[in-house]
Amino acid sequence: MDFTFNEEQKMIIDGARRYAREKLAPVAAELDEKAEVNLKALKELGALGYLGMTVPEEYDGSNAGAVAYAASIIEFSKADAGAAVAVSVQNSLVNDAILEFGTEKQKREYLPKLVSGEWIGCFSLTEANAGSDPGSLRAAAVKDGDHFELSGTKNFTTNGGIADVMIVFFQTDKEKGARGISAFLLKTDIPGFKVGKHENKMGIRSSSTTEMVFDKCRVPADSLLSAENKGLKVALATLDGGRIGIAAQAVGIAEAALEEAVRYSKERVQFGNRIAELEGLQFMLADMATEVEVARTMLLRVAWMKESHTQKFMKEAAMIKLYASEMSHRVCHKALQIHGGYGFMKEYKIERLYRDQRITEIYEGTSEIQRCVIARSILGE
Amino acid sequence: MNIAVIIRQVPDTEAAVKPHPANQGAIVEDGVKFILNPYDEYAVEEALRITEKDGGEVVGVCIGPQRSETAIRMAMAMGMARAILISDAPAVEADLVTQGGILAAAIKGLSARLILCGREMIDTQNDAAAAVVAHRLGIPHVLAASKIEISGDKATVVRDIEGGSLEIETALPAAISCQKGLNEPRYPTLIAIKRAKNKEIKKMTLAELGLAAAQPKSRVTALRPLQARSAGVKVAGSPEEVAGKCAAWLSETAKVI
Repeated sequence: MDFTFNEEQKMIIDGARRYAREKLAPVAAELDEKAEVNLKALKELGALGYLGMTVPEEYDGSNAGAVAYAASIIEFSKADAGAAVAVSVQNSLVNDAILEFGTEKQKREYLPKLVSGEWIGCFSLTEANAGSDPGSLRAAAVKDGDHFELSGTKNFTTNGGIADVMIVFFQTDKEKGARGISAFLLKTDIPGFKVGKHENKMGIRSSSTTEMVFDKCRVPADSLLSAENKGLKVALATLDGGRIGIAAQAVGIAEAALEEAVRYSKERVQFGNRIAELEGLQFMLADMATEVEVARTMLLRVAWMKESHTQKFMKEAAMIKLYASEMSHRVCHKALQIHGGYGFMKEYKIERLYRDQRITEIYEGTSEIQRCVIARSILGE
Repeated sequence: MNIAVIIRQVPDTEAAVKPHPANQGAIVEDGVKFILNPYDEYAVEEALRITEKDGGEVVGVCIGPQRSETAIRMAMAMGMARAILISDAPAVEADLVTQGGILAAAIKGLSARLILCGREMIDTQNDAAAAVVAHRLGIPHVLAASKIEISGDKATVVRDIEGGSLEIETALPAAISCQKGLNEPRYPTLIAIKRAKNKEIKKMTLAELGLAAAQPKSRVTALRPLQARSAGVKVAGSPEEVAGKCAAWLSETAKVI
């Protein structure tokens, strides 16, 4: 068993770390305040190859693998978790879905432009009344000859406001519930579609989250991604991989919070001593560092499982998403506590990390849904 | 125009470097990450920009232990075509002038019109490479360039000085060391990182370069960290009291007044 990165992975991860420090970190607080996307950085990351990390070279991808991808998302998240989720969505929810379920024509048409960053993609499943339960989608696609007519409103779509490409889920057979939904792969410049409300969020404010509004939007039947009524499988299989990205985001936020806590505890003097010398605080730091290490190690293992294509990783992906996001919650909570009143102030990075962390327990499957997936798996159901 | 770039590997700027307890002048390498000397990145970037515009090949030349290969691969991921690595102990341990001679011997075979390197190594702050190599090759050198323009058989180099800048025209071939601000080194693309591992690193010995191992003329005999300063004396009180206490301390304790 070899736990070391190879030279190529090291260089890719070093490159991500360096880009994050030099280009993401300096503007992260300002973008958070203004709720603006670092689109320039996303385009540059595309040019460097970080938006096509699991795509084979025949579609212009960098094919760096899921392990280097997960470790890179950690680095981006340490600097700007909002930029990191945009990278994660492009890689794991958009590219991977097209790779897995797209026709050769769809792969050739979409992947090279997604990989280069010319096009930004989004994955739109959730609706106002259909979150964890995709069977209750109301947005509907009605077949009309060799076309579908799409109507309805999706919400909470990450990258929605900056997307050129979207993977969107519609009800195609209401009678069948979750077994009657279909995935469509579409450009966002099609008639009848518009971006709706831009959400004003608690965290990851440097990412775009919007409604997606379809009003009698007529699309050819070959826009289907996978077969009609097979959308649930597209959603579930894609989200398995997506969870690695979100777990990596959670680990990155936690690592950053730990670094902030360590630094602050060595600077802050109370009762004549640095607070790092207090045993109560040392125990907090030790627990935080241990939890971060556990999550990081398991995350890379699950990424390796995906990369090696030798085994299913649905249960493990749910486990690491669950563990890493809740671990990140605990670590951010303690890191802010160590900062005392200063941690509550926007001048300190921990304030943003604390807010950014929260969504990792919710999107791409809540912690409760992860527990359902894990329980179902171990009970053999 | 072929360009030779002198590549050096140094400890990461964030590494906590400690003197080796037994090995004089060396550091404890365990747990230390080594990187391409940041100033050498400016040299690689400049070489790539010149050859991308005018054609030619960028070749790295490096004296260093085997681990230097990762620094060379980094330069290759940026775009450097191939490299020569000289790792035999007498070369690695040689003094700077001797190393300049070794580099010159390796560069001779490359038909390079320009030799670039970083203005200094960030670990030892050695900054002699360009000058020594130029001397050994009998060509001109310019140190710490912040701008390089090539036209035909000459280069115009700008060098920042206190309160202004110098513009220097030099014949080619020449050796030029590169200062921060010369350019913004590129981030390697993932595809280039993958291709870098298949590029050629030619390992050469002193014998293969037609050189004999010589005793170093100078060597580092000790490496000492800065001694931590002892805490100062704090005085408190009203301005009058503080002034009085300071005066008393200066005359009675420090005995300087």
